[in-house]
Amino acid sequence: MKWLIVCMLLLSGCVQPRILERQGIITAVGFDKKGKLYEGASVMLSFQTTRSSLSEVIEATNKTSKGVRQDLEAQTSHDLGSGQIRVIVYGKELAEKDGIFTLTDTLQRDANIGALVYLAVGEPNAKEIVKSKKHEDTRDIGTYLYRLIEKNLRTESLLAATLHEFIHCYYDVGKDPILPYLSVRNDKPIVEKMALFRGDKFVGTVRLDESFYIKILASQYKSGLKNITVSRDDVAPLLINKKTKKVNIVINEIKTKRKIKLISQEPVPHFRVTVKLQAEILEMSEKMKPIMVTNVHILERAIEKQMKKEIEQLLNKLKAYKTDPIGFGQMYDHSVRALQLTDKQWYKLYDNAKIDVDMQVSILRTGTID
Amino acid sequence: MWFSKKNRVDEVAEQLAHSPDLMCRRIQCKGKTVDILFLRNLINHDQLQQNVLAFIHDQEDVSLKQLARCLPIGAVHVCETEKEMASYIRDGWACIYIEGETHGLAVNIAEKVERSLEKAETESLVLGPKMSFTESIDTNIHILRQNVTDTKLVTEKMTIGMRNPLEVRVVYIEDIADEENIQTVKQRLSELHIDEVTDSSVLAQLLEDHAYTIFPQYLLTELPDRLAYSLMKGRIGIFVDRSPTVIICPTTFFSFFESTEDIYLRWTMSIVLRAIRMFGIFSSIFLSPLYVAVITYHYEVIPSALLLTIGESRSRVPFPPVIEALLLEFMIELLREAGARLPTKVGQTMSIVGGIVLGQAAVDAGFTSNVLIIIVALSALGSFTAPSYEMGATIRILRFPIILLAALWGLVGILIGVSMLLIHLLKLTSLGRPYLSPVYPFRFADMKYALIRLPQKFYSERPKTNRPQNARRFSWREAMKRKDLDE
Repeated sequence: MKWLIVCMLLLSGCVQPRILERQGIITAVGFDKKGKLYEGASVMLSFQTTRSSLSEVIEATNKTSKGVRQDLEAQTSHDLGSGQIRVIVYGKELAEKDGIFTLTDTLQRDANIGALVYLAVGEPNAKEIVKSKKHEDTRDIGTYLYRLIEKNLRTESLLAATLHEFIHCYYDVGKDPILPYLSVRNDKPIVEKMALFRGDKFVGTVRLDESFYIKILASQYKSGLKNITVSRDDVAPLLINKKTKKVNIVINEIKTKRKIKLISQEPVPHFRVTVKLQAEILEMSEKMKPIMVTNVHILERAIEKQMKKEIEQLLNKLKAYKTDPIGFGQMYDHSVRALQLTDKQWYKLYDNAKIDVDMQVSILRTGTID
Repeated sequence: MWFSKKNRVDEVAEQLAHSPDLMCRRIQCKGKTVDILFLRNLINHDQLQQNVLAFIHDQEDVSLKQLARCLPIGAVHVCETEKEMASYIRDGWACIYIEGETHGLAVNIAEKVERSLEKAETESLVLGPKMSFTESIDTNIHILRQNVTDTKLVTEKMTIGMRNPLEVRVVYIEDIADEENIQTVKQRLSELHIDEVTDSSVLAQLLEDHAYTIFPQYLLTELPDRLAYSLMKGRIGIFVDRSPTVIICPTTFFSFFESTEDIYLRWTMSIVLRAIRMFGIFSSIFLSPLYVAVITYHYEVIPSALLLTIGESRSRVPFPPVIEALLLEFMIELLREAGARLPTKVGQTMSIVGGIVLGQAAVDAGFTSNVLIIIVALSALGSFTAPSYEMGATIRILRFPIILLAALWGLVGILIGVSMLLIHLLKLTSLGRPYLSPVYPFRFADMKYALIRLPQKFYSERPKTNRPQNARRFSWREAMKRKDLDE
């Protein structure tokens, strides 16, 4: 007991207190490249007694990200605390030219920063997004960006955004990371597209309606809705009036299951993707005959056809970008015995890979009322 | 022997330190002088007049033998010495000496002062019997006998205290309670060499296994039904004269969190209530240390929705979180202590002053954050949920060292505190029996007694923790049978 007390007294100086109100709490960070130097902007939250807390953006430029951090420290009376960082935005240019791995790696090594921090790519640069003054009802732009990304992940219009997922995909052979792509519209940051990566380098974007297909191919889809435009001829037997060339259908409560199989590896890798999709119809742009068991297959086949077409377009786009967010490479690596696939090998194979898509749409309900 | 020397009345008076209350009524009867000695404030005067004085007056033959045989009084005793006589007089008996006799006669006409039976104050219940024990051991035994009519009920009488002797009763059910436990209790009681024992709570401290711990090792209760329940489950009770609380032993840690209400309520309800109580007590110990640790060291773990609220309320406070927490905890303890000492009417004013004025003013003045006020109020409430007052007090004290540990090392400090507490609890014993049973040693079957409640049919065995000689309460098979009316 005596020694315990001695130990307590001796060791009590070993931990550095970080009292909440003395911290300048960083909620979002933006990184950009300016020549050879990194430019960092942080949203710092300092607490005020009068109900309106202050969030302030401080900026610095240095050769390393931790150097930026030191320069930021010089600009505030608070201790900068990175424990509440929610979002890290990388400028498009930085992500495209230098890659973001060195910057994410240091985050992962920092015990204060959780693995569930969201990463994003910002257009035209990170600074502009972080410095935006429009953040709806949230107290600072960091929280706004956090909620924005979180909401879109929840509604499944985004696939992945966390540091953990990024690092995982980065190290995984045959799968490339994807991140949300933020852009500024009317001075307000919004999620507009999804950023595609090869390794840690940004290569291009896909629209959110395209990212739906990445999602159903890469994993399963559990909620949300999707707008599909089918050609008039495909659904002709169901139509009453004859007006437009295209018919829009909105399906809801989508549930998908996918299966990717490597059929053959020679001469080129040949995959078959089977996607089973269940949904109900929510909206149609035109009047139709009552949809019954006997004619629902017309609609199903039309949707299948359209989806297949769109998926094939998407796959070609991905191939053109030389990026594989769906993870065909991973599947290839798993399916072929005694193979140590490298990224280099895979990109070569991926370019020629043949991917068959088999969509199986079933419409469960044509609305919840009947 | 004792009449020969001096005047015996003087002798007795000397034994009683010439108390001004000592009365000596000398009557002449059938040519004999009869002295009746008593302490006037201890006796029942009606009884003295009707059953003693009048009776002696009407007697044909006034002799010790005759009186001892015929006096219409429940208890009489023939005394040989003045000392013996004096001790009876002290107890409120009257002593009769007839001239020429060698012995004196003590008759019991004592009138004990006691309050009427009331509702239990410290252990208040919503459901179930409300009566509580009182200060007289005779009344208490009476109440117990009404509650437990088991023929095997033993109420063993012992006396402790050399200067101020006190009657102590060890009660147990002969064929249920563990033999070894009974022996331990009796041995510890007989080995007490002490001048006096004030109350049963003092006796409990004297009988403890471990003096250097903040945990109480015996349950003190003023509820007869709780004692009866404990006895039937194989525990031992110790009654102490002049004390309204009964010691129940051996006791486990968990029995301090059991209320008799848990048995009276249906099992579904009592599971929830017990869980709430456990949670309340847990949060009472750990909530304010957690606040200190998080604010001082781990601001990362605050959810983003709470960050602003906590940060803003903290930003006015000039002290580090430890001082803030200790200050507020101290204030609450002060209020509680003041409330306990004050008469009820003033106590209400106190609680208003304390609760509203002080709390609000402390926040306005920037002494504490309002988040902490909520936390401290919650933990104060939590400690009140302990059905035992002793355990409640322990919990009040327990959080102060943990707050200090949290201030030293944050969450790691709290964990160190928890570990040390656990180690300590594991080592504790009550009457030589493990304190943390049924968790350690692990007794699965006893969980239904200590932690949760189940439907009555599952309670066919008495808890193993008490090592009952006869574990079976009723036949499980019988209980499982359906008993329909139309069978």
